[in-house]
Amino acid sequence: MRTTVDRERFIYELVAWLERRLAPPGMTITPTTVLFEGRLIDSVRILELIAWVERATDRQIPDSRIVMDNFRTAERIADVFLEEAGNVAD
Amino acid sequence: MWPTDEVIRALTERGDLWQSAPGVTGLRGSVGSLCEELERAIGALLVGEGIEEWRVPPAIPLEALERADYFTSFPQWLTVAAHLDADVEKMEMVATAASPARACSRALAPAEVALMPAVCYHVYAALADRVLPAARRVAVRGTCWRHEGERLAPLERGWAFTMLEVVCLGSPADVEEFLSCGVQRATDFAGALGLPATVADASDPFFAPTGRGKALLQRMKRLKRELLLPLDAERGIAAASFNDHQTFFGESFGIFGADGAPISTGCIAFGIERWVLAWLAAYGPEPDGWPVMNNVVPTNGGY
Repeated sequence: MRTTVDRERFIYELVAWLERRLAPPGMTITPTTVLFEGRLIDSVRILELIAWVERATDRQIPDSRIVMDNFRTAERIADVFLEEAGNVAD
Repeated sequence: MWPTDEVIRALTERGDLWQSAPGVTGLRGSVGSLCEELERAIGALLVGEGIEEWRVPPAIPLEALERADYFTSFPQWLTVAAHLDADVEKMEMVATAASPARACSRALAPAEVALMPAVCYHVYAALADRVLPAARRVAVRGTCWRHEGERLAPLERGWAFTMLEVVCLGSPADVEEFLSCGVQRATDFAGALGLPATVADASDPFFAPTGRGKALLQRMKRLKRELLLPLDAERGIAAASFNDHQTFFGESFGIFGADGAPISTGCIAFGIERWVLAWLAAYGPEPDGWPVMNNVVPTNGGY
């Protein structure tokens, strides 16, 4: 099972990556920032985000799991994909 | 249900369906009349109070498609229209060739227009670089051309096919209401024809390398939905689509609302030949098996 520390670290690293790759100047991304409002994520960034999550969880995400609700915020991504990876890998 | 390959074979054998090239299909006789009747009914479904009806040019400048980002989205489908070069030597070469038909491809002038791959591009191009003080809804129709290679199949996936569209240009709320109403009206229309329709989220086959990302975003944001009509127990055909472009075309073509922000757009598109095929799959190729098409268009309003 994944631990609370795993989840916090995952979210911390994901938010840091999102800040670097997505955030326009002056914008701060938090674990609860809604990622699909405005133009934060385009057709390139979505692939990068999926690739980041796949690398971090060491598990491929099937297209059927790539729905808006599962990628709404960094916290939600952790809740969905970290948990799934934990259930399978551990 | 009638197997579609048997339907096509029956129509072909009696001469009511023929192709001048793969995916370029002609219809006559009872199935030609059926196609006309369905096009009239869908045309009536799409117009109403406050909807402008445009006759668009049959070809569109390549620059307009460039502005629509077409070449990074679906370039594999495009059919350009080129005329023969007026150069005397080239004309002589064609005229005196053993096969002038085959020689034509060596005498083409550079193409400047394409046979339209979708009708709605004309609307954005015609309204480019202006402010729209109020929302607009425009109905357009025409023959569209998409070359989908080996996937071409008579009535199901034509190189050339008939598309009827309504385009909404306005606020995000205008587009949302337009599409929501459109889904309901199209579903009701299919039901009135006796064709059980389902509506499903969909995505376009975008060209690589960002194609997967575009398609995933389209599906995640539910920007494209399709009305599926049954062809058999397991297979449906997308006979209409409901597309939310958000502000993509407003930004691409410089179309702004009264507030100065790029407008939102959405379109509802019907592929007429696919309705014909779904009808034939349901009722068979013989007209004596077809129900009468009465009162199939809802009378309340329009879009």
